[in-house]
Amino acid sequence: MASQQEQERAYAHSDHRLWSAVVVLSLVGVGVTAYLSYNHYFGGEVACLGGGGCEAVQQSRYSSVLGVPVALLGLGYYGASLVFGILGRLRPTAGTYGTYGLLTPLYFAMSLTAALFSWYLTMLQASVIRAYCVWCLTSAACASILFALSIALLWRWLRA
Amino acid sequence: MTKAKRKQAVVIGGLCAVALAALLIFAVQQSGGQQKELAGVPQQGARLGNPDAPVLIEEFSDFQCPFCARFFRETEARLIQEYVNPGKARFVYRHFAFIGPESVWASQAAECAANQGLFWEFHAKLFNNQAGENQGAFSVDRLKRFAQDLRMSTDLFNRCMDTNETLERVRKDTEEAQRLGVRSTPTFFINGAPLLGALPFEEFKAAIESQLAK
Repeated sequence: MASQQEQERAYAHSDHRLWSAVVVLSLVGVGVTAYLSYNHYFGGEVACLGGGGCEAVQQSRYSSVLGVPVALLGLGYYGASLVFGILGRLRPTAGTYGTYGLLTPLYFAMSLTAALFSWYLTMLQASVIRAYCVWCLTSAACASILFALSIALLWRWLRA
Repeated sequence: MTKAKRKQAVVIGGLCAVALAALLIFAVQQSGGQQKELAGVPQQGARLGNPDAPVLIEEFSDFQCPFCARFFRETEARLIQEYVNPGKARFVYRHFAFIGPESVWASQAAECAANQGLFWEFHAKLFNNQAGENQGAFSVDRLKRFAQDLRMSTDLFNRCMDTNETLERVRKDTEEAQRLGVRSTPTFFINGAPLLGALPFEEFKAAIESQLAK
């Protein structure tokens, strides 16, 4: 039977991998949302890979919340997610105690909000704006995968 | 942290997350919503607001012009909420369809929608679907699809488009714009005083307040 220590080490190892995936996907998210935010403030046409739709989406009334562009909200989320990912990787064990104890549930809550919001935005593209923007869909995919990763992390944290 | 405590943390975190997402969605609906600001405002075609309001805001606009869309997105709803709804101003959209054939078709279509009392819904649809100039975003077929999306009577709408029923209205507005010396869109006249461009709300506020003070 594996000792407590061995078990913790095994957990730490796969947590480490999950957090690494978080870092990579967050970087993709930061890239996409930084590009869209830059575009929102400094204009210029959005390079719409794979067919039009980006302008319709970017210029729709739904592209900002109370004056804050949705892309900037996304940038905030992916930036925070990146920080969480790095902290998670630095954490020495799967430890459920200490400074980083709440890292995982906080990350789960954050990713849940982001995923719900980005699914809603995708639904808007489909049913109201009736145009899709590749960048926004990429971001929605990142948010969904990050949410899935956060569930995996949460599962392990609860069972540790 | 005990297992029970951890579970508690997850439940609380999850609930907070769902509440925050709901709040965000509500905020997007508020700022982007389907012309909610128009509820209860008297409408007559492209005219909005109390006909006796002391200030007249006229906008000369082209549905293909990006700055007109910007005004629509950033300023129009607020102007309507703060001045048109309380009856201090009325707002009139006028066509200066100069960017190309799709500008004229889009304007005609908006007037066809006006025939069914849906000018403002259609104008929102157009601005939300701008994409390039004369590249098919406002082809006649696409405009007919917009009418369908808005659940208008497509028979009436299609006939209106096919017979150019509203072309004369659009031409008249465009000629009027030229007569008034409009050179760019959007151009506004606040009780006749010109205001050029998709300016921030504060500029409109100042212009309207100075008219109200007279």
